[in-house]
Amino acid sequence: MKFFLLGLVAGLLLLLLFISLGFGFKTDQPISFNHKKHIEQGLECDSCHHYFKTQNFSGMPDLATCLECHKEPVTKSPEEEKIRQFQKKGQEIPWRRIYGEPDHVFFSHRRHVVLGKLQCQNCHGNIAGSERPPSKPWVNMTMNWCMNCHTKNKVTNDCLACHV
Amino acid sequence: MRTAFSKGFLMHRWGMVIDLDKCTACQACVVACQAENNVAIIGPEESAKGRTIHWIELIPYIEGEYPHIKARLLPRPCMHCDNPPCTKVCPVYATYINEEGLVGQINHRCIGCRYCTTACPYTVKYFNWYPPDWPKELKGSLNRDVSVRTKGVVEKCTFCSHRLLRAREKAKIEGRDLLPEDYIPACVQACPSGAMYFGDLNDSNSTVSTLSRERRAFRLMEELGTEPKVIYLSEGM
Amino acid sequence: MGGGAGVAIALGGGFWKWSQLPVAENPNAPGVEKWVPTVCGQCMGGCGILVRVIDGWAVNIAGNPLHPVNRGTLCPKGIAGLQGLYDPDRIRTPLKRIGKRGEGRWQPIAWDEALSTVTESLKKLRKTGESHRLAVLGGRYRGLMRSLWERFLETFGSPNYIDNQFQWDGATIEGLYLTQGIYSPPAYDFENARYILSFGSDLLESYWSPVQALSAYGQFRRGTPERRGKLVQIEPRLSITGIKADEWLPIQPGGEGLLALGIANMMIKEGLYNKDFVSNFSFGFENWTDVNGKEHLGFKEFVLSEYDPDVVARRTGVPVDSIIRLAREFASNQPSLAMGYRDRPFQQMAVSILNGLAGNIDTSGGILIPRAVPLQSLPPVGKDTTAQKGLQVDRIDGGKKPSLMLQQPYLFARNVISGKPYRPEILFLYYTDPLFSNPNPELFSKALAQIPLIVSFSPYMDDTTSFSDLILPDRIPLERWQDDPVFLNNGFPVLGIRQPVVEPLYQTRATGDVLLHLAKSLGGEIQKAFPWNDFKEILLYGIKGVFDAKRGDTIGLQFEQAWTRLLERGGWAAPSYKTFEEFWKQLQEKGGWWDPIYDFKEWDRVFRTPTKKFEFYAQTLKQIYPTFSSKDLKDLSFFPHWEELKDAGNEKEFPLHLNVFRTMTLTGSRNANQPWLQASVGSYVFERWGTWVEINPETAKGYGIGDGDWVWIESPKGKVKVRARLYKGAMPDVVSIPFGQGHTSGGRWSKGLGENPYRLIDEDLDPLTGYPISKSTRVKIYKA
Repeated sequence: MKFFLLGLVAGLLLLLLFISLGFGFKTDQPISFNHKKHIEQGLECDSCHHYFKTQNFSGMPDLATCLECHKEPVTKSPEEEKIRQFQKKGQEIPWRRIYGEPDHVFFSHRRHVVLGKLQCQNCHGNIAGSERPPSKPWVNMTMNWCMNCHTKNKVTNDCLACHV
Repeated sequence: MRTAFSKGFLMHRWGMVIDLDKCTACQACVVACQAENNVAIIGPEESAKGRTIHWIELIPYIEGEYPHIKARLLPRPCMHCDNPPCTKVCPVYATYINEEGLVGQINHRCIGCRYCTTACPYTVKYFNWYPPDWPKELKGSLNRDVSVRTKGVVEKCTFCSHRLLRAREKAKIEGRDLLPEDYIPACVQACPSGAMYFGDLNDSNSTVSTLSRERRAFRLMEELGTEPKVIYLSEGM
Repeated sequence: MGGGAGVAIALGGGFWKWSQLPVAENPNAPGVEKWVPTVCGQCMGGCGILVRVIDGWAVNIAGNPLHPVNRGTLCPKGIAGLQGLYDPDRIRTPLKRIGKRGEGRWQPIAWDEALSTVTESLKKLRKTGESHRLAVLGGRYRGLMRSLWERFLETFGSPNYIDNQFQWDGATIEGLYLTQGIYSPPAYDFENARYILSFGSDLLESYWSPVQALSAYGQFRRGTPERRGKLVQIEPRLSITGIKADEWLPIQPGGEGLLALGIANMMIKEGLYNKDFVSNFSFGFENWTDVNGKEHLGFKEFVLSEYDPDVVARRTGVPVDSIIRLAREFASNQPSLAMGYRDRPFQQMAVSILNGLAGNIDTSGGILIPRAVPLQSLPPVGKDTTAQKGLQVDRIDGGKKPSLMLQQPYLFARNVISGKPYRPEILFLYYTDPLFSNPNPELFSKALAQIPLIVSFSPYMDDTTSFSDLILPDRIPLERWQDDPVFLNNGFPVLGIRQPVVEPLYQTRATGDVLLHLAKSLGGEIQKAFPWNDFKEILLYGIKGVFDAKRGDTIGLQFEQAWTRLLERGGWAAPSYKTFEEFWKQLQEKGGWWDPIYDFKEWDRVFRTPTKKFEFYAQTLKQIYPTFSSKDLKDLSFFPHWEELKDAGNEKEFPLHLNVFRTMTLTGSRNANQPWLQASVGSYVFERWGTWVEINPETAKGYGIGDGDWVWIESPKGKVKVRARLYKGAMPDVVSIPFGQGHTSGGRWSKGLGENPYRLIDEDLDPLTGYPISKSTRVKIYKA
C-alpha cells in the first residue's frame, strides 16, 4: 500500500512536471476556430481537410485555404483577424496537432473513410458541432482501441496490416 | 508448401526468386533496401565490429586454391521461411509469420533479447546496437512509409510489406484485384540485370512459381527444415 | 503503477514527437507527394530516375521505367544520390580562402562579391593582353555545358581547355580511334553477343554506363532461350566480372594486349578470321604499296612473324593451349566481342583488332557507332582583337590545337611546373578533382601551387577544391536543368533531360548560369556571344535541333519503339508531339528523347579513318607522329605491337606488381561521402568503409601477414597503409588495391578514411597519350 501511494504521488508530480514542460499535449490552438459556424455556412469536411478521401493523411488546412474566404474580414471577430496577421507575417497558422500515430503505424484515412465507410465522428467525435477547437483527442487512440473496432467489424488484426 | 484458404479463395504466399546467373553482384539491392527502409548508418569503427545492418546482404563463397577458384556471390534477404526458427523463440511475439507467409518483425514490440538473431541459421536478423543518428540535413530524405527503429531492437527484411499495404489499398479503391506489378520490394525494383523476381507462390502461373520449378532452382540449407521462400536459380545452363 | 498511469496519459497523445521522421518537426505538413523525372548525376551512366518529393524533400529515388538506359532499375550509386543531395558537408555559399592554401579556413561571401572578384581578375587578364593565361580544367560531364565552356574560352581569347575526363576507366577509346578514327567510347552490343573475351575489362563494376552493362549481362546470359553467352575474363585479379565469368585466366599485369596479338596470330594462322570483312572493309591487312611506290608490311605478316603463341605464352603466363582454344572459341561463337580496358594505345588497338578480324564491326552483337544526339550547335561567336590574339598563342600543354590522342592534363601539369611555355594566371576547375582522381596526384599538387588564382565550381569540398582560392559552388544534378546526351549499347542515341526536383537547398548557382553572368559582366563581344538569360534558355535552344531533326520520339515503353521504327523506315517522322511546346512538355513529363533505330552499313559514320576503312595499319597516327620527331617511324609504329613495360621500381626491391581497380560503389571522386556506398564497398572480402589490399594467401604467409592485418604498401613514389585481405583470387605476385578512398577533404564520412593508391603511381607517361601507364608500378609489402 505504501509503495502504491508513493508511486502515485511520484506519478502525479511527474505528470504536473510534464504538463508544465509541455510534454503531452498543450491545450491552446492559435486561433479559436469554430467548426459549427463553418458547417452552418455549408462547408464540408473536405473543403478544408483536403486529403482524407485520397491519401493516408487528412491534412490541416493551409493558410491559402482560409484566405479563400477570409482575405477580407467576414466577421468582426478578433480571432478571424489573426488569420490576416499570420498572412502578413508570411507564416502558416501553427495549429497544434492533436491526432497522430507513431511512425511505426501505418494508418490510412482513405482506407477507413472510402473502404471502411467510416464517418469523421466515429473517431474524432462530434467535431462538426464543436464551437471551439479540440484541446485533446476525443478518445485516446491506443492500439487496443483500434483493435476493438477491428474485431467488431471483422477486419484483420494482423500485426503486419498496420505495423511497418 | 502450406496453403491457406480464407474466405473461400487461396491466399497469397509471397516468395522471391533470385537468378544467380543474371545477378552481377552490383549491390543495388543492398543500397535500395537501406534507402527504402531507413536503415541506420553504421560508421567505420562500428562496421569493423561486424555491426553493419544490411537487410539484404551479399554473401561471398570463395573456395578452392589459386588459380582454380570457385566463387559465388549470393544476395541473401530474409528467407521468410514457412517454418521459421526465429518465431519459435521470440518471447514477446514480436516476430511471427502471418497468413500470407510474410515473417513480420514488429520492431516496436521487440525487447532486444536477440534469441531470434541466434536462432536464424541464415543470419538475416540485425540488432540495433546504436541509436540511429542522421545529420539533420539527411532527416528529410527518410522514407515516410517506414518506421525508424530505436536502439535495442532487432530488424530484418520485411519484403517491403509497407508497399503491400499501399498497393492493396490502391487496388481496392480502384475496385480491382492486386496485380503482380503492384507490389514489388525495393530490391527487386532496383535490380539492373533483372535477376530478382517477386510474387505469389500460391499462384501456379506466376513468374516466381514457374521459376521455382526449374531444374536450376535450389534453396539455402533446405536440410534444416526451415522451408525458405527465397529460391535461388544456380548459374550455368 | 499509479505513476506509470500518470506518465502514460501524459505521453499518449504526443508520441510522434519522438519520431525521427520529419513529422516530428513539422506535424502539419501536407505530405502530398509527386514523382519528378530527371537524370541521375552520380556517374556518367545517364540513367533516368524518378524522384519522389514530399513537402519539398526528395525522399526516394527509383529508376524511370520509360528511360531506355535503365528501364526502371538503378545501380547503388543512383539510389545513394539522395545522400549526395543532402550531404551535410556540402558547400552552401561562395567561399573565399583565408589563411594559406590547404589550411581549410574559409570565409563565406555573397555571390555578388564572388562574381565581381572573378570578373575583375578576368578583365585584368584581357587588358594586359594575356587572355591566354586563363585555363579551364574540365572533367567528366557532357552536353551543352561543354559547348558553353569552349565558347566562353573562345570569345575570351584562350586556347586552354584542358580535358581531364578520360581516366583509367572507360572503354578502349584509343583502340577505337586507331582502328576506326572515332575518339569516343563505342557501343558494345553485348546483350546480343554470344561470346565476350574481356581483356581486363571489369565490365560488371566499372563500365562507364554501369546499369547498361549490368542489364546487358542479364540479357547476355539468359535473354535468349536456348543460348547462354560465354564470358571469358583475362585479368591479373579475380574481379567480380571474373567471378561471374565462365573462365578466368590470370595474366601478368599489362600483358593483355600481347595476349590479344597471340590470339590474332592463331586466328590468322588457322584462317579463322572473317575474310569478307577483312578484304572489303579493312586496310593494312595484307602487304601494300603506298603512293610513292614504297612497300609496306601488312598486319598479317607482321603478326604471324612476331607473335606466335609460345612467345606470347612465355611473356604473359597464359598457357599455349589456352591461347589456341580462345582463338578458336572467339572465332566460332559468333557474334563475339573483344573488350579491353584503357591500357596503352597499342595494347588497346590489339584488342580492337580482334573485333575487326571477327568482322563484328557495325553488326548486331558487335561494335556499333551511334549517331550523335542532334542538339543544335550554338551560333558562331565573334572574337575581338584581344581574343584573336589570345587564340593564336600555343596551348599550354604544347601544340596549336588539342591533339586528339594527347591527353592534356599531365603535360599541362608538367608545363605549369616548368613554366614553359607559360603559366596560367587563373585556373577554373569544373567537375574535376585532379588532386585525388588523377594517378600521381603529387604532380598536380606541384602544378597548382604555381597558379595564382584557382577558382573551383565544385559543390563539395573535394581534395582539389580545398586547395583553391575561391569557390563558386555549383548545384547538384538533382537541383538543376541540364541536357544529358548518351547512347545505348545497341547504338540508339538518347537525350535525357535533367530538371530540378527540389528547390536548391543552399545558396548555390548552376555553373552555366554563372558563366552567363560572367560573360555579361565582361561585356563587348563576350556578352554578345551569350544572348541567353540562364542555362535553361540554352537548353531550349539546343533541343530545338532535336525537335527539328524529325527523328525519334520522346521516350516510351519498349514496345513502342517497334512502331516508331516501322514508321521511320517508311520515311515518316512519327513523334508523339507536333509543336515544340508539346515536345518540351513531354520531355519534362517523361524525362527524355530517343531515336530507336540503328542504321547499319552507314560506313562514313562507322569509319572515320583516313582510308575510310577499318585500319589494321593505323594511318591516323601519321597526323600525330610529326610531333614526335624522335620516333623511328618503321611500319612497326603503325601496328599494335608489344611495348616492354618500363617497370617503375626494380624487381628485387619491389617484388610485387600493383594493380589498381575500381569498385562499383566508389567509381567517382564525388561519391565517397555517401555512407550507403561506403558500407557496401568491399563485401566480397568482408571489407567496408576502408581501403584494402588483396593479396594471395601463400604470398601473405611468406611475409607473415594474416587476414585483416595492417600493412604498408610502398612503391618508389610513396607508401600507403591499408588492411590486408587474403584473397584466393589474387595472383602470387600481384597485389590489388581499390581506388576511391583516401580523401584528404570532402566530408565527415570520407575525410581521412582509407588510402588513395594513385599516390603510388609513378611519373612514367605514355608517349602517345601523355597519360600514366597503369600497370607498370611495382611495390613491396610489409607489416605495419
